[in-house]
Amino acid sequence: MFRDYDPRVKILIVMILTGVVVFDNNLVTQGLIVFLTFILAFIVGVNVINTLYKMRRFLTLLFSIIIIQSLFVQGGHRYLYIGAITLISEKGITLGIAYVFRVIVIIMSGAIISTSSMRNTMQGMVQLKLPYELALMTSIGVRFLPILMGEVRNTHVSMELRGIDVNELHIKRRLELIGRLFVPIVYSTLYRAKSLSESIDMRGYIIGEKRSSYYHLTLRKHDIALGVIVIIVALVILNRNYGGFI
Amino acid sequence: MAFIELKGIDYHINKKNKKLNMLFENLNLAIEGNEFITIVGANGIGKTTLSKLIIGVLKPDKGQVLLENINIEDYKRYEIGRKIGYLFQNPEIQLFNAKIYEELMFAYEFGEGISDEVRKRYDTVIKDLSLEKAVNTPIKQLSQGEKQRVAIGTILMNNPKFIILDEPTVGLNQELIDDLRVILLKIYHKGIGVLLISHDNEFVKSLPTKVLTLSKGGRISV
Ligand SMILES: Nc1ncnc2c1ncn2[C@@H]1O[C@H](COP(=O)(O)OP(=O)(O)O)[C@@H](O)[C@H]1O
Ligand SMILES: [Mg+2]
Repeated sequence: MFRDYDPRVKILIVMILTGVVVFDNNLVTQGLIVFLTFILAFIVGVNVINTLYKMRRFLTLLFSIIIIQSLFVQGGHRYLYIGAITLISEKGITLGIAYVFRVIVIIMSGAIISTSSMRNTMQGMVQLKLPYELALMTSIGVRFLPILMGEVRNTHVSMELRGIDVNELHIKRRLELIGRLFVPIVYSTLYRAKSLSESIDMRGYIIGEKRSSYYHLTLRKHDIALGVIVIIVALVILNRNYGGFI
Repeated sequence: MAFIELKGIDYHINKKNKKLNMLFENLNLAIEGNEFITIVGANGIGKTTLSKLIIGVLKPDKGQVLLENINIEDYKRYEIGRKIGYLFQNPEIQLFNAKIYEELMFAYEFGEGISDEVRKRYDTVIKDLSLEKAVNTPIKQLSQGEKQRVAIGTILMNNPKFIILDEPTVGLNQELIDDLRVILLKIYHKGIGVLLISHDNEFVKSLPTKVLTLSKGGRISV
């Protein structure tokens, strides 16, 4: 069960999972998809516990978002309220949970894709006849993400070191301050993109030109099996909701 | 009591596989508030890591960092920033505004407000950094050297006791390096302590600084 799966199967899995979880707004369907995501991630070799552990701060943030969202979205049963003010409503909490489900699936999808080497994933995208530009952008994105994350961290630290006591600020000013963080972040992203494209040009690289490669991926039995199972399970889950098309 | 003290610092890059990734083991260092000190060492030896431990951005796995005899972890980040200025290798990432005036007043605009004293300090900083001609140019359009000076300016506006510069000569031409030397000397002669991180030997030799060499495992030698 735990072998190397073809990157194309992983791409298929990820497209199905994210597609359903983003466009479906039935909580039970989404919950099932989250469950399926965890199982598939485990099968292709993601260290699920470790990934969740790394996400823990982010998850805390997500739960705060649920609470805040349910303050603004009212409707349905009122679970928690003070007088006329509803703190947690049925509709608010439903939307919040849906949001968390989506984010979890998207993050786990990233983890699923990254169990293949970038070389393999790119080759898979090319053989799937996806546009070469897309494959190239993905591989460059993955390569530069850590560098950009490092710069974002440095930017944040440098703002804190400016000596502004953020806790003293009114919430509006605080948000304004966060907005300013984007100035250097956007700048350095654009700057990296520009110097990267220059260096690609300098090497005489033409994007999309027919490139030959001895390297070729072939689907094996277990790849096909996993792909088919995923499609079937996804259809069964959707069938529950939309009914009667199987 | 030194201004900054590092006591028995262990630091691992990879927190999971500690044996393999020991960057520093029992690193000790004391820096006085008014000294000019330079740390040299090969690429990847841990100079940037060491400087980030000093300002509390990274936390040691063992040992402690003291700033004015208080554990760095007991400070808020903004309190550290008012004592120690930090110039990142790439100044662009620490500039948030369109014009120099806004950039240098940033912390006051969002903080205690702009007093006469702050305004006076602004004039001095602009003069010390020879930024008079640049004040009306959008920061985006300034040269690399000018941007670096604006970043130094934002640090000086905080009236820090100490300033750390991470490889400030990288990417500068000779003329800009000469300008930077003048600026560093000005800062030092105002009584602000300087920790320079550099592997530009020529630049280091031209400065009145104590030189420490960082080598493998976090050993520091004079
Ligand atoms: N975020 C990181 N993740 C993994 N390794 C890192 C990270 N940052 C630095 N390192 C490693 O730590 C070591 C020291 O890095 P650094 O302090 O930047 O060195 P220097 O500034 O002396 O060039 C290097 O071997 C580098 O590869
Ligand atoms: Mg460095």
